[in-house]
Amino acid sequence: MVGAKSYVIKSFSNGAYVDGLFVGETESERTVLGSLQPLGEDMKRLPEGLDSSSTLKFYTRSKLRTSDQGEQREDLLIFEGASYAIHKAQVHTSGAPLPHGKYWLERKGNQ
Amino acid sequence: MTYTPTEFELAVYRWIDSRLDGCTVIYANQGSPRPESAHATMLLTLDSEAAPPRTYLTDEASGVDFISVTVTEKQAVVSIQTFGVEAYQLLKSLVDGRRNTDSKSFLTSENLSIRGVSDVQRIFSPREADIEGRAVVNIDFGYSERLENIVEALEEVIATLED
Repeated sequence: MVGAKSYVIKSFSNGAYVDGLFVGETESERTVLGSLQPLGEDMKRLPEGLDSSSTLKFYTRSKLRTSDQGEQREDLLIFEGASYAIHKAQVHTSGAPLPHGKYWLERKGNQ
Repeated sequence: MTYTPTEFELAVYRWIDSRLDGCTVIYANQGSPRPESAHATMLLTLDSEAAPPRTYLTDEASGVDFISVTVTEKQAVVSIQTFGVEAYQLLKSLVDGRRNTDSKSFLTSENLSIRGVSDVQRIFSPREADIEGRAVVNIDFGYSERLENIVEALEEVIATLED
């Protein structure tokens, strides 16, 4: 994989809704090898101030949990001190020279 | 971020949860995973005073001189959304059943009243390759907020009369 580097992935498990609140998650970290590439940057001038957003593509042979996979929080990728939520995956297991996944990442806000 | 509901929201949650059988009720905007089964979100959108606060003193508490009790009648609007095939029917049953004896008893036990209810609005929203059924209603609740403060009695008053 061209330009592959190590990145920290945060994973969450065992969360559940109790009395309307999502609680009880355990957090773990691991390192995966992959290639991170820019996808989009945006800046908006809003009444509350300037607001930016950032999206990335991540190519890896490791399997990551995405936000559309049931009742468990998605994995987060840490890049330059910011957390990126992993939303969608295109998994290429056949036809590609090397099986890999292409993931769509979105930077999370501070709140 | 963990959301911390107020006492009022907890009471409303218990009422909604008791009325929506087979439906997971959650607080909106937690940034948490979406429940897979039929579910409802509740969101407090307005919380205001319905009348000026009333304050009175009581001397019944032990160990202190007086308690200042302030009671404020409040009104609050809660927006409830349901998701899934039965979304509209679930919200209709909640709204239409609000005057049932057991529902009214539950509301009374939680110190809640219902001041008004909007129409139940049916919404269809694209989701993946399907169209998802949704419904939304705004319920205007009334409740009382009670605040207590300790007030110490004056032990001695020294006054001088002047001609």
